[in-house]
Amino acid sequence: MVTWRKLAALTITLVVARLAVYAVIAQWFGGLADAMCQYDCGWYVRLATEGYMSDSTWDTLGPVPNWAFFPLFPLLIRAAEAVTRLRGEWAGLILANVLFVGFVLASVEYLRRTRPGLDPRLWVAFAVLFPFGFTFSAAYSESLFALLTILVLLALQDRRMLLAAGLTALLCATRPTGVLMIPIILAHVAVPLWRARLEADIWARVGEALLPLAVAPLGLSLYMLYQYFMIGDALAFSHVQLLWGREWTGPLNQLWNAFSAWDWQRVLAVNGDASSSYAASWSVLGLAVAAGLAWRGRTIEAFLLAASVLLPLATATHSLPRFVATNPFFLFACASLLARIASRRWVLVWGGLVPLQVVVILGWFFAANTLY
Amino acid sequence: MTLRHHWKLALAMLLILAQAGILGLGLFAPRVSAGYRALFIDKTMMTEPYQAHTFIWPGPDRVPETAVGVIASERPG
Repeated sequence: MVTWRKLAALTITLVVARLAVYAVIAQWFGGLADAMCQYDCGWYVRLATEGYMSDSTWDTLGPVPNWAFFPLFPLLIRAAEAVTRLRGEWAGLILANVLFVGFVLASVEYLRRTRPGLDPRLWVAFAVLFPFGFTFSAAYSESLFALLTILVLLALQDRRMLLAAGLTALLCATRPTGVLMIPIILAHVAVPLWRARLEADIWARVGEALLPLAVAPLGLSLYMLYQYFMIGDALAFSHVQLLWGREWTGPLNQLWNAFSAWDWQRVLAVNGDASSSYAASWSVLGLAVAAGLAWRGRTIEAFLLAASVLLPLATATHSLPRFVATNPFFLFACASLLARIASRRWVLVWGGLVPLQVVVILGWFFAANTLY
Repeated sequence: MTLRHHWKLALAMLLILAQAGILGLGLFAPRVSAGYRALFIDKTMMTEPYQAHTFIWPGPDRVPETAVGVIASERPG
C-alpha cells in the first residue's frame, strides 16, 4: 500500500522534473514561461491582466474580441499574479502545474474507487509522462477543468449534491463543455426523487433535488449575464467562435471533410492550417475509447468523453487532439490499458513516453499548429 | 415539511427562473447592431473566418456602448 504522502511526493517530483526538462530545452526558445505560452495561453494571460473589455491583439490583425475564453482560469491567473508578483506567463504556468498536481492526486482517489486494481504509481507516472498532456503544464484551462471534473464526480459518489453542484458551477465558468456535467447532476437527483415520489414530504424532496440543478449552471449563467451587459449579446462566447473557424455543421460532416482532405503532410507544419486528418483521427480515437468505457459499464465516463469530443467536433476539428489527450477519462482508459496489456509496463512508460514527450514539447516550442 | 425545505425550494425556483431569463435574453433579445447580427448571429455578412478580426472590436476608446454598435459602420468594403 503506497501512502498518500509518497504519492504526493512522487507526483510533485515528476512534475518538477518534467518542467526542468522543459526548461532546459526552452533555453533556445526564449525561456520556459514564454516557450510554454503558445496560442491560447496568450489569450488567457492577456485576459488576466487586461480583462474582457480590453483591446487584445492577435498578431498584426489588430483588436479582436476575447469573449470565447471563459473567466475562471484568467481570474485565477490574476490572483496568482497578485500573490506571486510574477508576470502573467509565469503565474499562469505555476498555477496550471499546481492544479495539475491536484488533478493527478484527486484522480488517485477516484481510481481507487473505480479501478482498485490499478497501481496508483503507474497512474501518476503515466499522467505526468503522457506526451500529449503537456498542456496540463501550460497556462491553459485544461488542468483546472480536469481537476474540477474529478472533484465533481467524487462529490457525487459521496452524495454531496450541493458541493457537486457548486463545483459544476465553477466547471461551467471554466469552459463551455462544463455544461456536460449538468445531465450527470440531473441523473443523480432525478433517480432518488422518482423513488421517493410516493412519500409524504415529496415537496421537501423536490427542493433537495432542484437546488443542485439550479446551482450547477450558475457559472455559465453569470458569464452570460456579464456578456449581455457589456456586449449586448449573452451568447457572445458562442457566437464569436466563428472567428476560430467554428461553425456548426455536425460531427459527421466535419469528419468527412477532414478525412477527405487527407492533409497529413501538415502534421509538422508550423505555419498555416493544422492537419485536419490528424485532428479527426484523435476524435475517432476519443470516441473509440468512449465506446470501450461504455462497453465496460462506465456510463458517466463514456458520456463525458464522447460528448466532450462530439460537441467541438460538430463545429471544427482543430484542437481535438488537445481535448482528447487531456480528457481525464481518456487518460484513465489509457493507463488501465497499459496496466493490462504490458507486462513490461514500466519500460514502456519510461522508455517510450519520455522520449516521445521530448519530441512533442519541441514541436510545441516551435509552435506547431497541430498541437494547439 | 420544514421551513428549511421551503427555503431550498424557493431558492431553487428563483435561480432557475433567473437563469431562464438570462438564456431568454441571449436567445431572443440581444442588444446588438445590424452588423453584429449579420456577422455572428445570422451569419449572412461574412462566411470566411479569420477575416473578420479587424472590424469587430472598436477599441478601448469606444467601449462599452460601442462594443458591437459600430460594427456595421466599420464593415470593410
